[in-house]
Amino acid sequence: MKEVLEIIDRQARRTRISIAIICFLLGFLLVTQIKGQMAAAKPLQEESEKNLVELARGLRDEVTIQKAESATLNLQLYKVERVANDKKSVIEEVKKTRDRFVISTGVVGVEGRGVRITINDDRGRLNGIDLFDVLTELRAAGAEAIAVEGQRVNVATSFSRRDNMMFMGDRRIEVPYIIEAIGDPETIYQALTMVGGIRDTLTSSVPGVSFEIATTAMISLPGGETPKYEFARAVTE
Amino acid sequence: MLPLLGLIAGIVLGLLLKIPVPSTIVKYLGISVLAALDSSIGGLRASLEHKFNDKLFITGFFGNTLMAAFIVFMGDRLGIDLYLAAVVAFGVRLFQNLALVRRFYFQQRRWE
Repeated sequence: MKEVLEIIDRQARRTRISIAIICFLLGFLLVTQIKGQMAAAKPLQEESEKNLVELARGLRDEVTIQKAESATLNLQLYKVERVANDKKSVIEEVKKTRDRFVISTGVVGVEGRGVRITINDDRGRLNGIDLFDVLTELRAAGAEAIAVEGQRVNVATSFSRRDNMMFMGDRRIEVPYIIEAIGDPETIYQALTMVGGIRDTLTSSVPGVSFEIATTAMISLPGGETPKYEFARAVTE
Repeated sequence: MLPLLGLIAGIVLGLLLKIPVPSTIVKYLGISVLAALDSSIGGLRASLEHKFNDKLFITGFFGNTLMAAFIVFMGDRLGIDLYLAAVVAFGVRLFQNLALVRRFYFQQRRWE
């Protein structure tokens, strides 16, 4: 009986000790939290000079750190922007170059301002060289794309007269020959109609030829075939 | 008597020691204190009802205290204000336990 009582007593003592420890912790936590809360809510005017100096130093350090971080981030932003801009400008340049190439090869359709030339040759006196001269004049006047009878002119374009018929490459073309060119209409008009120019030359030297030129606000030229390059090789640097 | 002495010792030590509490952890410490209070009042109620178990009490005290702070911390990281949920949960339990303790003392003294 005595032993049982002892065990109960021991258990009760252990429980009391554990509760006391918990109460101790509770009191400690409570006071710490209250002090922390009071310190956080304490107005600056009530702080001692030493604490204020400490506080100011802490804030100054914080500002320095934040400034350094801001500078690093700005530098990073600048680098990223520069890379993005570089990429953008490279893409733009590549696009422009590609456009230049595909237009100059005449494989894609193009549109823009230009002129429409109608050449009539009632007596069939014009030969291939005459038509080629017109193209040369157009190019010299800054024509960027040319089509004859709706067929794009490229580096392989040729004109020839065979059996009293005019051919553009292998395709026969008939009068009136319609030549359309995209470029500055005024410049081309002036270049072709100037005294002693191609219009004067053709109409005066070849009988039965009429040469009409009209500027247009919008011409659409179709894309042509890709020229074949068998012997020419691109030279890479 | 011993628990009361423990509480007083804790308060005195807390007052004497100048433990700096960073403003960032005041919030977590606050919720931990609330959880600790809840556990303590719960323990008091259990002892009055003769259901007190010291192991349950100690594990509950530490478990609740740490979990409360951890849940609020996770809430902050997840962008959910779990602080309010914890305050409401512990607050309700605290008041319920306090009401039961008060009732017990009233019944003991036959005031009711």
